[in-house]
Amino acid sequence: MTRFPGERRVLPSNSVTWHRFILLLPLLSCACSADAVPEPEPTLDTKGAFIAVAADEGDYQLLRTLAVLGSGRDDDAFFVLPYLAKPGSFDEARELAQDPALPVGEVTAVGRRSITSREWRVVWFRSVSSEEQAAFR
Amino acid sequence: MRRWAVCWLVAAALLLLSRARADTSAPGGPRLLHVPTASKTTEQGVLTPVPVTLEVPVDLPARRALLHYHVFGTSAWRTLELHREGARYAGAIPCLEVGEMTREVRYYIRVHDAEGAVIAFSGTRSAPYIVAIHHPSARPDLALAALRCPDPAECPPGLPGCPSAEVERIPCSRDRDCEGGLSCGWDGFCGDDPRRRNWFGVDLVQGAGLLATQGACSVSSQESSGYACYRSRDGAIYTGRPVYSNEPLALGLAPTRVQLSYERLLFYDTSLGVRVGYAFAGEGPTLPGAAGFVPYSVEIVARYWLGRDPFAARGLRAYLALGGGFAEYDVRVDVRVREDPNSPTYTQGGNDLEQTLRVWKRAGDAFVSLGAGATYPFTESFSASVELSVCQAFPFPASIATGSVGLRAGFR
Repeated sequence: MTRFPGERRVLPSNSVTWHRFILLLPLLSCACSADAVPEPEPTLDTKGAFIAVAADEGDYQLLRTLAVLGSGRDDDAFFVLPYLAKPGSFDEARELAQDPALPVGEVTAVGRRSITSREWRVVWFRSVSSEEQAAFR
Repeated sequence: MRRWAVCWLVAAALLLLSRARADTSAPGGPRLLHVPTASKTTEQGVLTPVPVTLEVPVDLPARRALLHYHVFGTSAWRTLELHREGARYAGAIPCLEVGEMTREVRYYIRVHDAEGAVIAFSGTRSAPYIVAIHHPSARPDLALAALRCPDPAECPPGLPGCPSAEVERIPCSRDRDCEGGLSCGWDGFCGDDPRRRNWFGVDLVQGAGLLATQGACSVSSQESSGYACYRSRDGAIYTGRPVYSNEPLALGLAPTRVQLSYERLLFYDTSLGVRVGYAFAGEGPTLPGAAGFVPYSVEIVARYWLGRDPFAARGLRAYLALGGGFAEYDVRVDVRVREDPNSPTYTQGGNDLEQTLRVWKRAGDAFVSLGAGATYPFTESFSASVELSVCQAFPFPASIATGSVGLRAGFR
């Protein structure tokens, strides 16, 4: 017997069993994902983060954070590695950032405001090697 | 009177000399009831039974005494069971067997215990007692009055005073209890067993392992769980800080081994074997300071053969196997790893936010296995085999599936 006149009966005769199974599905999915840990994302201040910042020419500049002097204010100093590539979008910047052989310039210091005042996004992360760290020092 | 002289001659010799243990008896083997060579040959006339009496030392756990005899001109040795008369065993080679022709009758005696094992003997097939049968025309002194054998129907074999009962099946407990190329069957009797009980084999084994890759590349897993992770980009050992993500189980190749095996058929449908292997391919790299891969493996395996007495006939032989032993399995899989960029204890540079690592898991060193297989005999002595099994390695765990193909050579 269906609940509504227009409702078609689609469940088998042992619908109680199916109902129980359907009710258990969310619990099962919870069990499968219970071990998952939220994947932490790199931030602007994360050492090794690749940041794509909108440039005046309409493209983007790709920077990589090596160190931050300051405590989160606009006048904090960022020591960054500027990459010579000029990506046209965040997605392209993300692709380029994954190339370990991407040409890189000298370590440069920039203010936080010079980044945050423009369109920017953290597009990738690669942990800083000892050689890269030495270049900063 | 002459025949009784033969009887007592043998019996006396056995009695006297069996008490003095012969130095020629093998330790743990059957005792030699020794008789001097001079008394092992005697004479008698035709158409006369050859009486034999044996006195067995009381400390022997004798159950049966069997007289094995051979009449010159016949092809096979025949066997009679001597009947017990107190401390003695007595019987006679039937008159009809001796017949009326001049010839030799050879015999020896073996004493069996309750399990069928030969525990004492007097004479052997190669050095038997010899009774020379003479015709009255040559030796009238050996002739008896009645030159006629009694009708067997008048005195059934086995009854006291009658000819000894012929034994069709010789009891035994091991192969050396049997003679004439016969082997001891699992029914406790000697027979011409067609089964090959000893099988030597060579197999080629390929494994595939199923690994849990969640957290596999953390430093602690690499230090204590047998994992070793390498960056695909530059081959460097990975010591980053991976996020403990929900990575699925991964399937990868395990080493390729060649195995030599020996297997002994213990019963109609049960065998026990040992396999020694060497992994010649599939060895993974070893982390600095870690123990190297041990390519050798050894396994004890018991098999239950399906069907009724499968080794008695040719045809496909299927089995189930249960085994265990020592082996190391290097299993190689590729795992996606995501870095934790905010880890405060970052030490290794060059790790991308997401990357694929080449992961080796060194599982073992012990394992248990469950499998099934089949052999197909090309001849009685050669067969081909295939086997599929699942192993669980421990204490460094991995589930390994192995497949093998091989050849077997069987010997009795």
